[in-house]
Amino acid sequence: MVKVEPTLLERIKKYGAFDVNACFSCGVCTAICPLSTENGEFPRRIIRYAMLGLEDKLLGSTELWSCYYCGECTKSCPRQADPGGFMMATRRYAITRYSWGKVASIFYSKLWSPVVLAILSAIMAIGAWLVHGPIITSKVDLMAFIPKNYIHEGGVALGIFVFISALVNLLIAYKYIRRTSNKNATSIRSWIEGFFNILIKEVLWQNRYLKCSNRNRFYAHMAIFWGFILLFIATGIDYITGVRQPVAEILGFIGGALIIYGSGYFIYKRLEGKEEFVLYSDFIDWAFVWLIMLAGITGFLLDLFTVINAPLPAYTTFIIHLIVVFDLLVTAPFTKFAHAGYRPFALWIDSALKSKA
Amino acid sequence: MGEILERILADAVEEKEEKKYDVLIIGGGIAGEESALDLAEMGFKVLLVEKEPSIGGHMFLLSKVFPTLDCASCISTPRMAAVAHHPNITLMTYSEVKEIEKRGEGDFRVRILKKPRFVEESLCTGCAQCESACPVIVPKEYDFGLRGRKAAYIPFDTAVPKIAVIDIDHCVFCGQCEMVCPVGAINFLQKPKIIKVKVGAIIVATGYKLFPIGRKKEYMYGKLANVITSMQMDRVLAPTRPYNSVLRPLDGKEPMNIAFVLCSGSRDRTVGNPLCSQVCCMYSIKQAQLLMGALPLADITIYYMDIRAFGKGFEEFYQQAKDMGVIFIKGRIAKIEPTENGDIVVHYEDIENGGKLRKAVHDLVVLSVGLLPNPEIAKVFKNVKLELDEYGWIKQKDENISPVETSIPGVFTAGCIIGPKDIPDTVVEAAAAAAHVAAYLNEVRRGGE
Repeated sequence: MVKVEPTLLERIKKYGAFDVNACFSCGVCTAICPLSTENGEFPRRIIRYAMLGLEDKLLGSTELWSCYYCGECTKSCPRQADPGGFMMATRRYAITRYSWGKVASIFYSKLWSPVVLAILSAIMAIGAWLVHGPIITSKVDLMAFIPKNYIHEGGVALGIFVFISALVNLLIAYKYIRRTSNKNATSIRSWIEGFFNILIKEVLWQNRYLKCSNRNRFYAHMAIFWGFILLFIATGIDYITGVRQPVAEILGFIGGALIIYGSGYFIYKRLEGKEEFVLYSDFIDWAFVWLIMLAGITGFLLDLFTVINAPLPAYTTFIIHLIVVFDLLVTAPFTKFAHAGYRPFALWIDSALKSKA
Repeated sequence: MGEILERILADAVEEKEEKKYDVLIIGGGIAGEESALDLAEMGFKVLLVEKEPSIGGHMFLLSKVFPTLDCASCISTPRMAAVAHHPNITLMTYSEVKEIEKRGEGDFRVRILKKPRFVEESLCTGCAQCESACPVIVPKEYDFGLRGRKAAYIPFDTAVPKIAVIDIDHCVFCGQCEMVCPVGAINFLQKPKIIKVKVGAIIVATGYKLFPIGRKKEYMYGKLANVITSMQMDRVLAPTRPYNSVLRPLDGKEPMNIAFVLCSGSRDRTVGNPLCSQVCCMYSIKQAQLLMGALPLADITIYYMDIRAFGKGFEEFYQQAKDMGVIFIKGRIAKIEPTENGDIVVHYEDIENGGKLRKAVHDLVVLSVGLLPNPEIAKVFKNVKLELDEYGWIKQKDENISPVETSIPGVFTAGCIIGPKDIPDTVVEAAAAAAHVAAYLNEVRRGGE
């Protein structure tokens, strides 16, 4: 039995698919798409699900995450129904539906998302104020300013929260996909094979992203991805060894430069507003790219103020840096950042399950 | 119109004498011919102006008409001849209406540019010796480039009037035509003329333009020889056809697997034409049936979104094509790609069979091109405004109760200038416009007494 949600399309349209009603189901979007395949056709099929109110089918479609929004469909749509924008809006909708307690919907509310972000920032600022140690003005000593153990334990707590949230959200997504998918489970072997296949081809080297026409956008996205990986490794080295390592310094430097470059590209494209993939941005999409940019910039400023020995600017920057990184990570399972989980996860399921004959 | 001819036209000489007619009809297609004949039969003096060297319009170029499969040129040629020979009709071909001024009800002052044929119309007998002698060959407009014509030429075999014209832009001034002309009709010094006329009423019937499908880059028209337009296919199927057989342009191979791409340049906002062109479904089905006859072994596939078979006998005509074995696939073609041997790959989503992504190879692809308005005529109205709708078609005074009246009293309209339509509807409107003109003129004259 199929459950029909009459208001589904109206709900999705709040997330950006303003013109999708014009669709007359001709299939040009699917046929022009460089990523659509014989076993996973989109966007037309997904638009049909939305129009017919088949919410379970819609949220159970791994095709949502097969789309990297190159904009070819939007360019060629004879009704200018913006199928690319629709896919993006549907992903936003899916992020809210997959999240535990549907928490993510507050981040996609125009009213609440700035408020919640401000509250989170305030919590972090107050927390830093409560735990801060002596402010040494003769030299920069960040570890005296905010004692090291607070940073480390706070970081671990945050990490656990993000990890568990992401895991729960992925399980909800998996439930949707398994319930409605027309695909059959296969052997453990194919799950393992699929995992490494996707890890190498689509996570470490984002092959499908490259198939989307714009090469510069691919480089920018790779820069952000690898920037985060390098920063994560640098932090890990510092954490495990307990002292600042030169290797970690170098990795952190490269990672910071990469995320500034990548987020700079996306901010520029969003401001320019010419290409299809930036036609509509939610507040939280803007916040995402700006937070990445700010994290990179404050990281470098922190180094700069340490080197030139300017204690007060260094401490201020440190607080801002902590707030930005906290905002970015704590919201990760509920905002645009969550695609980093859902996308490879959906591709993995897709490659592991086999279509029913 | 070429650059040289345009320069010559700039020096047009205005004739002093002002001629009088009851009605001016602009456009010598099937609509203009019908209105002209109706009014002439009622006793009105009609001036019919056509910008091309021959009347006939688009209908004359077609192979057959749907859904009756009657021969289009067999229907239209006698009409063209009747127009030419009617004592109440004056024909001005190769002429363009340049200016219309409304002085009052039933009083329009019109300036018409008569382009020089460089052939004396009164002398030419249409023997076509100039055409044989001319050494210059250029693509023939009436066959949409599928065949060539000379620089000195008669537009087509049954042209009305059958008078030669010299394409001065391609002429090399070798003088061969002048030497062979048995009546000495060639005159390179012929000047363009501006002719002033006074008319009581006007019918605008300038018809449509074919959608310039080269604008739709995904369909590769103009880049791939084996992607042709439906108008070219209609020429290939016509009795006066080029090749004298159905062949594909690239290599002259007999096509065995032909695709029709419906909605090429219609219902497409990306190219600025969101409207349905109304005739493409039916003429494509017509061509498919004719191809089934011409090439009994060929596969014919029609890619459609919805088949709009809304007229009398249209649905039966569609079902007949299905019964004959024409394959109908629901799915709009997204893009067209070449292969090494000149075959064409089309990409689409097979919507009726599970929405599967498909590509198919055909050896000839016909783009069923849509219709665009021909609204340039609106610019010639000087002190009154001929209103157009948002897409450039003529705005009717009222779509329901006055469908052939325009925003100007005394100016009527008929046919595809109002919107895309088929031949029977066009003829109905033309007859309606003629009746409206008669009523208008009678009313004006009674009022003047």
